[in-house]
Amino acid sequence: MLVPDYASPIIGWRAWHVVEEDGGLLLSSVVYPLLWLPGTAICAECRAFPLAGALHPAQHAAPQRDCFCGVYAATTAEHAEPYLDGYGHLIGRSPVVLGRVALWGTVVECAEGWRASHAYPHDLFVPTRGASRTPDELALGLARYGVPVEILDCQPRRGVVSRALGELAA
Amino acid sequence: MEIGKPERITIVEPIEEPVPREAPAEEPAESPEREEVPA
Repeated sequence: MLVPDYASPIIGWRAWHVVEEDGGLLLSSVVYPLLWLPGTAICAECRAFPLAGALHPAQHAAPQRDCFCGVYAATTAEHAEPYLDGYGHLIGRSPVVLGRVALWGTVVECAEGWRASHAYPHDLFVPTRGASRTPDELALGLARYGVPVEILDCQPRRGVVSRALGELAA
Repeated sequence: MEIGKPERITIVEPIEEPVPREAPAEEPAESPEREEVPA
């Protein structure tokens, strides 16, 4: 029997695209076309093994220390911000929000973040400018996740959002 | 996302459910995907 190391989720930072599905707004992972559904935890599965072959351990539960798998989160907003400048399958086609994510289950602790087996948004921050939708529309649409949604008066750009977050916390 | 080298594996079992109760579970539009995210 494994004894838990922590009794509270780890809270890290990440970015999401916001996409419209069936008339509602959903969060989508930046790297993969994975939708985060309201009220449903993400459960990680390794997709690296069939691609990386012998470079990674045989098919396994995610995350594993010597693979790249798991739900990613960074220790600071600054580490998650590069995705705001455009990255992934939806680049330039959907708004990007930054937020904190709760991680639990099996968690690989890394120098500047984590890879986890389970995850759910903890809170969300919506930049006011540069999106095709108004921040109010985005915030209202994302309320379905049941977590706090804050509007940040700033551009969704690296360095700008973390500065706005710092001012919000001050 | 650059998160650095792995240091250790931990087991996290939250006492409180991290998924808010007020967020109703919704049926996925497609088959439920699972996440793995390489760097």
